[in-house]
Amino acid sequence: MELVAKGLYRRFGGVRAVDGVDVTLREGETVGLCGPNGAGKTTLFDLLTGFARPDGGHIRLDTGHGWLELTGKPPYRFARAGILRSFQQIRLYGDRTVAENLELARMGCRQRCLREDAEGLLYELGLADVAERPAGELAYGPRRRVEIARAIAGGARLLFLDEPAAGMGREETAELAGQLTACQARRGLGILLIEHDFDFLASICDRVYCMAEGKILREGPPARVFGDRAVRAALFGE
Amino acid sequence: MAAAQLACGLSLGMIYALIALGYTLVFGVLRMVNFAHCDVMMVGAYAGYFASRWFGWGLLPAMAAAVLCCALLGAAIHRWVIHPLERAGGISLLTGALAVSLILEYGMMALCGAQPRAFEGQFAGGVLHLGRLALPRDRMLVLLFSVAMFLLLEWTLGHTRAGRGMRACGSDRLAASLCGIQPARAGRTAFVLGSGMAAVAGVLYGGMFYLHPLMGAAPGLKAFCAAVIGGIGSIPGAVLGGLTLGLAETFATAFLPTALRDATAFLLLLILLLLRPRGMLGREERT
Amino acid sequence: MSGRRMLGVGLAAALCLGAVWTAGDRYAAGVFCRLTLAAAAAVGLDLTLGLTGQISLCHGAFMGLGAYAAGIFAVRYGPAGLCMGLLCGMGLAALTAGGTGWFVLSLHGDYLAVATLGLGEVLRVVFENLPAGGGVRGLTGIPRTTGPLFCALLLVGVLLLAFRLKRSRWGRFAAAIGADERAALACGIPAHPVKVAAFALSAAVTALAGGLWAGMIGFIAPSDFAFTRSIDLLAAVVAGGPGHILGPALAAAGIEGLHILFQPLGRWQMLLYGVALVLLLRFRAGRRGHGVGRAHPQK
Repeated sequence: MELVAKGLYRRFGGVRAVDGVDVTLREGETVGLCGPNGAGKTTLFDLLTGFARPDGGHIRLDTGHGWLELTGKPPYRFARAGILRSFQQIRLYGDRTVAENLELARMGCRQRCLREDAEGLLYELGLADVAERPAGELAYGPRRRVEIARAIAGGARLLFLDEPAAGMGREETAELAGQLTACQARRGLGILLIEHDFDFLASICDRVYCMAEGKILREGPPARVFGDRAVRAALFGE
Repeated sequence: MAAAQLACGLSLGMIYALIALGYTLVFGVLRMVNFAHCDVMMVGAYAGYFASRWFGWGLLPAMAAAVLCCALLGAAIHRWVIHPLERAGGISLLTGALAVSLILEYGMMALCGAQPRAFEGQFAGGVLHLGRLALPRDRMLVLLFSVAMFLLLEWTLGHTRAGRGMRACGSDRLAASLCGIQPARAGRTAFVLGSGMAAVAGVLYGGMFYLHPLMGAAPGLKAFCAAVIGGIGSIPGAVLGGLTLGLAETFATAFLPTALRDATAFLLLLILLLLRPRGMLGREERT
Repeated sequence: MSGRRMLGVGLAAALCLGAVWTAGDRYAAGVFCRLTLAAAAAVGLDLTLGLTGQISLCHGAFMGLGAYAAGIFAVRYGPAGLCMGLLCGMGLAALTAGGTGWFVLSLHGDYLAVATLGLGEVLRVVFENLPAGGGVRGLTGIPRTTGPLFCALLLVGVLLLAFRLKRSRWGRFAAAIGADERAALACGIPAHPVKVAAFALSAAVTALAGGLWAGMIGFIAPSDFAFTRSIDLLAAVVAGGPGHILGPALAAAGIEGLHILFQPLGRWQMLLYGVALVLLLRFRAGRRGHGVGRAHPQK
C-alpha cells in the first residue's frame, strides 16, 4: 500500500501553509517530517489524513488492487482506507476506558474484533495493565501511546503520528522508539511522524522530509538531511 | 427617486450594522451569540422614549440616557447570567441568553403593555436639503450616529487598554489571561460596549419605526445575519454586512412582496453559508 | 429483572395507569396528554442535541409541521386521515431536517443555531400561508381522536426507541461525535452522515408528537409552534441533561405543567419563566462545573 500526494497546496487567508508539496509513504517504511515552527507540518498532516481539504493537488492511495482517490474526502474515508493519525494535542475520550477508546476506533473503521489482537496491541505498547482505566486518568506518556494504539486498532496500514514523543523524557522516548519499531515490524505498517527530536528521528526513520515555509526543503536519509546546510540553516539558524 | 432609496437603504443598513457590531463584538470576545442583544436594543428604545416623554429631553440627551441605561443592563446581564454560565459550555450560554431575552421582552410587556408607541416630535420627519437632493432627516441622523459609533469602536479597540484586552481575549483567552488580562473584565467590557451601541440603534430604529416589546426580534435576527455575512468577529465585516443587507432589503422591497422582503436576510445568509462560510471579511479559523 | 428494567416497566405502568385514571375527566385528560406529548417532543430534540450535540432552535416548528399535516388530513378525511397525516408529517419533517441539515450541520455551534432559527421562521411563515391551514388564526375542527392512552403509549414507545438507539452502534457513534467530533473522525466515524440522520430522526419524532397534539387538542395555530415552543424544548433538554433521555422528558413535562399552572398569571408568566430558567441554568452550572454540551469545536 502506498500513499501518493502530489502538488498539495493549502492557504489560510494570505498565508500559503502548504505550497506545492509531494509526499509518498509506503507500508513498511518509517518517514520523518521535521522543520521549524510554522513550516506547515501539521497542515500537511491534516491534508494527508483528510482533516483539511487541499486547495490544489491530489492524494491517491495505491491499495495493491487499484488506486483509491482520496482528494477532498472526509477524514473517516481516509481512516477506513487504513490511514489513521494521532494529534498534537491528545484527543481521547477521557471518560471512557482505554479499551473502550480502542473499541470505538475498531467499530468506526469496521475492523473485525479479535480479543487476542486487542490485548496483544495493548501489551506491545505497554498499556496492558491500564486497559480498564479511564483514559483521562492516565499520565501523559501512556495517553500518547493510547492514541497510537487507537490508530492501530482502527486498522491502520499507514500511521501518521503528530509529535508522538513530545514532552517525553529521554528514557520514555527510547522506549517509545522501541515499541514503534516492534509494532511496525510485526504489522508491516508505514509510519510518518512529525518530530522535533532529531535523535529520535535519526534512530528510527528510513527517510526524512525537512519542511520550511510550506515547501519541502530536502528529502532523504536522516544523516544526509540533517547534515545539509540549507536544512541546518532552517532548523538551527546557522 | 433613486437617491432617496439609496439613503434609506444605507441608513437601514447602518442600523443593522450598529446592531451587528454588538453581536460581533460579543462573539469575538466571548465566542457566543448574544440572543438577548436585540432586546437590550428594545430597552434602549424605550429608555429614550421615556426620557423624551417624561423629561422632554431632546435627541442627544435621550440617547445618552438610553446608552447609560443599556450599559448598566449589559453589565448586569454579564454579571448574573453570562459569567456564571461561561464554564458550563456553549449550549448553556445560548439558553441563558434566550432566557434573558424572554425576561426583557415579557418584562417590558408586563410593565408597559403591548400597544405600539411612537416617538413624538423631533426624531421623526423633517427633510434635509443637500443641494438638489431632499433627504429624510432621520435617516441622515442614523448615518451620522452610526459612523460616529463605528469610529469610536475602532478607536477603542485599537488604542485603549480595554480594547486591546478584548482583542487579546478574542484571539486566545488562555494566553491573554497569562499576560495578566482578566478575561472576565474583557467580556464585561465587550458586553457593556455592545449594549451601549444597541441603545443607540434602538433609539434610532424606534424613531424610524415604532416601539413595541417585541420590536427587537426582527431587526435583531437580520442584524445577526448581517454580522455573519460580513464575517462574524470582524468589525468592518459587521458594517459591510449591515450595509449590504440594508441595501438589498430596500431594493427588494421595490420588487418583491413584503413577506419575501423579510426573507431576504435569510436567503442571503443561506447563500453565503453555502459559498463562503467565514463571511465576506471573516478570517478562516484554524481548528 | 435488573433494576433498570424494573424502573422502565414501572414507568410504563405508571403512565398507562395515569392515562386510564384521567380518561374520565376531560380537563385532566387534556393536561395528561399535554405533559406526555411535550415529553415525547423533548426526547425527539434530545436525539440530536443530546447525542450528537447539534443545537436546534426550530424543533417547535417541526412539532408544528407534524401538527399541521395531521390536522389538515384529519379535517379532510376524518380519524383515518389522522394516521395518514401523522406519517406524512413525520416524513416531511425528516425530509426538511435532513435536507437543510446536509448543508447546515457542517457549521459549528452558533452558526447552526442561527440557521435553525431561520428555518423555524421560514416554517412559521409556511404555516401562516398554508391554503388549508386556516392562516394566522389557525386550524379548527380537527377531530379529537387522540386520548390519554395513545399519548402514554407514544411516550413509552419514544423512550424505548431512544434508549435502544443510544445503546446501539449508531448511538455510540453519535455520542462520540457529540463529545469530540475530531476524535470521532479519527476513529473512522462518519460524522456528517450520522449528524444528519440524527437531526432527521429527531425531527420526525417531534413531528409525531405534534401530530398527536393536533388530534388531542382539536385546534392549532402557528403561534403554538413558534420560537417559544422551541425554547421550551431546548430548556427541557438543557435542564434535564442532554443525552439523558428520561431527564429531558421529565423536565419537559415539568415545564409544560408550569405553563398550565401559571396560565392565570397572564403577562407575568413568561417573565417568571425566564427568571426560573436562568436560575436553573446557574444551578446546574454550579453543580456540574463543566460542559452541558459543546457548542464550539474543541481547540
